[in-house]
Amino acid sequence: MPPMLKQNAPVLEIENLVIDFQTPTGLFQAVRDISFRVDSNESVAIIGESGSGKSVTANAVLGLLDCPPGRIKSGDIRFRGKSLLSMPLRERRDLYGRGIAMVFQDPLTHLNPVYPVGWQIAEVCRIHGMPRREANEHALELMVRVGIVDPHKRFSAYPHQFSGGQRQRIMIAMAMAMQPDLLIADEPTTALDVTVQARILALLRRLQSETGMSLLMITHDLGVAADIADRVLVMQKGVLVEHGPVESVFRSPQHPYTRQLLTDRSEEYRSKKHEDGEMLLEISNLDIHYGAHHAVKDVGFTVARGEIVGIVGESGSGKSTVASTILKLREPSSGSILYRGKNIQSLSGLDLRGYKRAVQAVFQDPYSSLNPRMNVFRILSEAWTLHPDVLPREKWRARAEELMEMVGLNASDLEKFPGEFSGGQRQRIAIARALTLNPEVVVCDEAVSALDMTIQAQIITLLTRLRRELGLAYVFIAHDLTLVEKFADRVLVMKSGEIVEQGATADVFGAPKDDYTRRLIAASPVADPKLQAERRRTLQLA
Amino acid sequence: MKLTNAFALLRRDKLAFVAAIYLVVVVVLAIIGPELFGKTATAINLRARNLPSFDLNQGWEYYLGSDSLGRSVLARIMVGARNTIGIAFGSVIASLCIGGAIGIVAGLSRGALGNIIVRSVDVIMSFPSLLLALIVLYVLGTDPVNIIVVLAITRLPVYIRTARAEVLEIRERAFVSAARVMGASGFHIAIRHIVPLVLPTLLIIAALDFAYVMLAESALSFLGMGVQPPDVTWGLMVAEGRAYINVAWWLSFWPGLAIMLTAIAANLLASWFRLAADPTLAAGRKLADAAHA
Repeated sequence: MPPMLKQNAPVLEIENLVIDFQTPTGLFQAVRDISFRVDSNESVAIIGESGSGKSVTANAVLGLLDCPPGRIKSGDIRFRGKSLLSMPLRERRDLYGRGIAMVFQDPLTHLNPVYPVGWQIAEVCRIHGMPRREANEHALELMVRVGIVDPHKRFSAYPHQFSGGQRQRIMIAMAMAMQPDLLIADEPTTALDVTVQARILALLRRLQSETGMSLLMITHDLGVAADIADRVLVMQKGVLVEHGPVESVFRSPQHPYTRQLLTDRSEEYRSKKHEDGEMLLEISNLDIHYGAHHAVKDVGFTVARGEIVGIVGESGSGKSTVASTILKLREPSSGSILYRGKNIQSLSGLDLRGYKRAVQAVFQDPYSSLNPRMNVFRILSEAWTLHPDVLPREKWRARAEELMEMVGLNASDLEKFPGEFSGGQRQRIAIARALTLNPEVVVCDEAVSALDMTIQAQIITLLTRLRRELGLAYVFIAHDLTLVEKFADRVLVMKSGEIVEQGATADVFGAPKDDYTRRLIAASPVADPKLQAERRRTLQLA
Repeated sequence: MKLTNAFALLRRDKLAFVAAIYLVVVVVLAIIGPELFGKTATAINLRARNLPSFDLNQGWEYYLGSDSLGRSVLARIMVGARNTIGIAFGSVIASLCIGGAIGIVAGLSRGALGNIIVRSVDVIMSFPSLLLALIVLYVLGTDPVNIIVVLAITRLPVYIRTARAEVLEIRERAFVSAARVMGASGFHIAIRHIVPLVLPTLLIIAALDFAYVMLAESALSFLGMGVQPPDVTWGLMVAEGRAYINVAWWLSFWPGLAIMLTAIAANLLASWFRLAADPTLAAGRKLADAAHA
């Protein structure tokens, strides 16, 4: 082969790939005739929602597909011009790790808990024939390269002794062990906080420029794609609907689906708050301890009728603890929560029942928030069995039907069980349940975090409409800053149990006073490649 | 409406259907067997001693053979069904209900009560159950009710531990929190949310235990602390036949087969029930698969 040609040869080529899954209800085509290539030293991002086939594609490259039920029906996957599918298994296995490596979403489940991390990194080298001592030295070197502080000491530590971001660094070290030509990263930063995410993305970018490898990134986050990719591929329901250089796709998306993903929904999400909002909740000097751990420190804020109070912060900042205290699922160590001027800790009898009606919750995980053995009607009517004075029994069905229509579902769905609904629909049911007692405040604890982008947009639009129609107030807890910026009237920024800044959303995001708020805003990527590159530069300078 | 649905579902699963028919026959025998065949079973016929199986010369009742006193094995099995099923069913139901309830309480209580229950269970588990049974039955006498109580106590720990472990997981789910936010009491949560989710697992264990308890009862009979002759149970028949196993295999074989078939039938029916009772498996199959892909 002439050298010129070899240089331009793509690292990975996927040609007319079709992947089927055999299900009890028939054949399901997860990937439908997709073709793309990844050139050397190039970053390609596959964007798509759950069920789009993006992970299936990546797993097919690495031979991680469960066959059966999965089956590569037709097409080819070529690595450096050689077909992976027709290659003998031995040769293929030799290639994995050495030529192609992968980083997964959840580093905790992909690291073996019973071996020290150094051992696990060195294992990759040993598998590919490196002597033990050399492998250990190489592992140490890799730990330095991925930015593990004090690697000599950390070499023999176990996975649970590392934070999520550090674990992801270790996964990356394992993937980089044999200097692969292609690194496939499947949602590598999805489980991480934004500031950690920014650092992991920076690490990937640095490693790529050092080694000249190619990067195939799978993500649902447009900001991440805008941050790291040279080219993007957009997948929907197994079809590659759009591909091209990152700038042109983000600036002028061609396919309606891509356009829908990139729509700026700021206007849609924003809703006017009622001006005459009376004070519903007044939280002051709230302190919560878990044993010796001081989870919430001196937190105070208010919630008025019809107001959306956003609480943002990274994991461990205490925002969910505050939520569960408002919901009376947890007792505060000290401080008070006043509901219409009365302390909720000392409520009893009718007042307590009134509070339990006025404050409702929507939780994060749509799969665990509905009892799988109750049909929707029973789920909704449960509240009325607990509060029989709200609604006479003969009106239950009519009200349940009304609620279903209010959240955008059919009245005929009442007899179905949660298992028959998708994640977004389940979250709608959870919202309907929260509305059964005509509440004043709904606490949304990461209520849209587990949902796909388009579903998330639908749920937020629904919440906005419900506030307009019913005058609801929301305590909206989220780690997604861009979402809170569009949706909330007021925002609190929490860091390790304390509120570092609070105020009107426009003020906090427009002119953040606290250093942490500034860092948080800078670290959350925006879905605009040009702007994101600029932000990155200023972040590096800072 | 619901019952006909369940029947249609049962018809579709052939194995479970056969198991259900077998169990119905056994239960019917347990109810009317002693009245119909009580005489035949105790009748001593010296001309028909030690008849082998599959011999119709002495009449239908000797088709499965007879023992050294000339009593019909078939009739004894049919009569023994009442004691066997009664004791097994009674003790399984007792340990299921009591153990399940204690386990749920242990799982829901966040204080000392849960710990006390778990430690007591450890004590019961570490004490040899057969020894416990022997002591209790020696002191209280070998009344069938006492046998049921003793067998139930020795099987309690399994239910308590399983129920507790399941509750510990379920109580952290968001729908339990949602119910608490609405002001649901612990009792309401236990009945409405916990029991329906724990019950299928406990029923599976109960079905497996059914066989275990029948065998445990036969072990007690073997040691002379179980049901006393002239009353008869399948386990007792197996134990009595043991002495003649090399000359008259049918004495132990047929009651043993009856125990095995009952246990298998109970298991088949239990696993069918688990599938049939689970709405996520019955109706949500289509969506779940689409979501996985």
